[in-house]
Amino acid sequence: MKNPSDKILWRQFRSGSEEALSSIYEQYVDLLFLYGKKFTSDEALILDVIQDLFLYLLKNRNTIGDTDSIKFYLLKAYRRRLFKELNRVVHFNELNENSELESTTVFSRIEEMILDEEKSEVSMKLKQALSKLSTQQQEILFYRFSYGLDYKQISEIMSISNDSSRQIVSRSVKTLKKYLNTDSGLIYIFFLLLS
Amino acid sequence: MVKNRYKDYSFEELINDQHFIEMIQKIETDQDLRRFISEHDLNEDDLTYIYELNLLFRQKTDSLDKERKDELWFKIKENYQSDRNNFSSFNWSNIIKIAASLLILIGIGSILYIGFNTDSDIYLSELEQTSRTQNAVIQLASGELIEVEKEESTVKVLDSNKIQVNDSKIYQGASSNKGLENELKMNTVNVPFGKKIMLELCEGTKVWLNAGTKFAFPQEFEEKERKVFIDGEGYFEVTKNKASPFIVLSKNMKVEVLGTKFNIDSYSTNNVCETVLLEGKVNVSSVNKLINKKHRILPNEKAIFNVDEEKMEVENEPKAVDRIAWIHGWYKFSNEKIDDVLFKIGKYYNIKFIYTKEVIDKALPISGKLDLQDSIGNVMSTISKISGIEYKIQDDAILIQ
Repeated sequence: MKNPSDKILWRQFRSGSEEALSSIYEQYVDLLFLYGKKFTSDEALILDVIQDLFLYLLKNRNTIGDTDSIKFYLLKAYRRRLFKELNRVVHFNELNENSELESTTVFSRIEEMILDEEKSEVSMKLKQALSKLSTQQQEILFYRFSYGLDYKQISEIMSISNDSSRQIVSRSVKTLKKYLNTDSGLIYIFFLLLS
Repeated sequence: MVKNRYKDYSFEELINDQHFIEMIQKIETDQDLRRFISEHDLNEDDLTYIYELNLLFRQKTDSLDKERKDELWFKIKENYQSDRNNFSSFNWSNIIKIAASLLILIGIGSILYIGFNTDSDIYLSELEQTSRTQNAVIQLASGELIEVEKEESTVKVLDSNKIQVNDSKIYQGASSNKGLENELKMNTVNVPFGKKIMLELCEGTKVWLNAGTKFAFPQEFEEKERKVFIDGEGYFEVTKNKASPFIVLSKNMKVEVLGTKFNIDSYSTNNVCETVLLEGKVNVSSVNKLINKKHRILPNEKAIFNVDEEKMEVENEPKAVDRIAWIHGWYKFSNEKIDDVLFKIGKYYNIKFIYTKEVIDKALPISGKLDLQDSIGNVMSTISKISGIEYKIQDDAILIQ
């Protein structure tokens, strides 16, 4: 999702404008926080990583590259840092090149979103359908629908190829279709994932 | 844009349409949603789905509250500032230049020059590294680092390369024959926040160094004068030696003594530097060569130097003894502004304070006495009672309201 004003704002920040960075912070801190909560409930850790990220941006503004999607830049950088911290906490001993390992740790908060609505049959159906997906699939769908990232960006964040991310999305859709037995119902999953 | 463009799209087609996806991002409210659905003529049979899901995804129960948001931003800026300050505030190169010119004026027989690495950046970065430690660190001129672990320690300089810590361990630095013969080699002491050190120099002068202080002294004093450097707070009891005046240089002030007891409060990041005299006689002057005036002060007087205005004033300090209460673990203050008090407490306890200008401006000056052995909770409760400010203790900072 490219935004021309993003490019300008980012440039301003890089040339030293504290206001620009402050504006970036205001715009994206909530998003980063909610994003972090999709991976862990440790709020202190989530905030720490946000702090580290912005400190890093401040200190290295001269050497950071350009971007025309600040949201994407921040998400990617944040995810990397958060995972580093989480992996440290969980004591992973083996470095596994398989990208599956990365998201299996963590992306599992979709369940929580539907908690209160257990009574509703619709929600139950949706919840069940989504749970048929792997956490990696869930995460990718999330980026696609909730953040509107394009496939290139998704593949960068997840460290998979562009083709893989397309395939995963279409496979997920097929699974959901099968499970919900309806084509149109799927549209509303968009909106579910929008939160 | 064609209306009903998406009407017959399959789900697959929709999710691969970047434009459609981006439009969804713009939906904020229920109204937006309904408008969107009707504008694009999406299937209405599943209105139930829409309704249920609306309720679901509009809930943002775990969003970030404004208080934490603002606090986090403050922390980010603070950390960035303090990183920059640590590096840039301690400018040795000025001191080197001034010291060098003084030496020339005094006209000593043998030519001495201060043998810091001429690339003062290297020296600066070394100091920066040491300030990250938890414990006080002494760096000998020969390069060895000695870490002093206790909160209050006594360090005695036995001779030019031997240091004894807490009456037990003795460290011997390597003596080097290389380097220019007349190089003046310096030992440095770095006292981090929350710690304190008492240093006894070779010739008997005692120096108490307070938290957040950096101090440097030569391996061997010159004959005609004894010169040391400080950035922070120190209390000196100087042995008498008429032939060799004791000179304390800080970033902004210079104090010359013959033999006496005085307290210097000269943190380079502070706007005001103070020298309080208890016994003897000292001359206090600005390090800035353009300000020539020397002020002689007498016991129970203090010289206050305002860095910004470049003005030095001499005032009475009847409670001079209180100013050195810190060496015994008491912090006594009378009629001091609350931000000065918080500055000191921040140093002693290694705590950051977060407050806005309004809060501080409203508070009246306070007097009191604090036991530095007390917990920070007790200290803050006392301060709160005296001044009326409220506070909240957080993970690594205290918020003042």
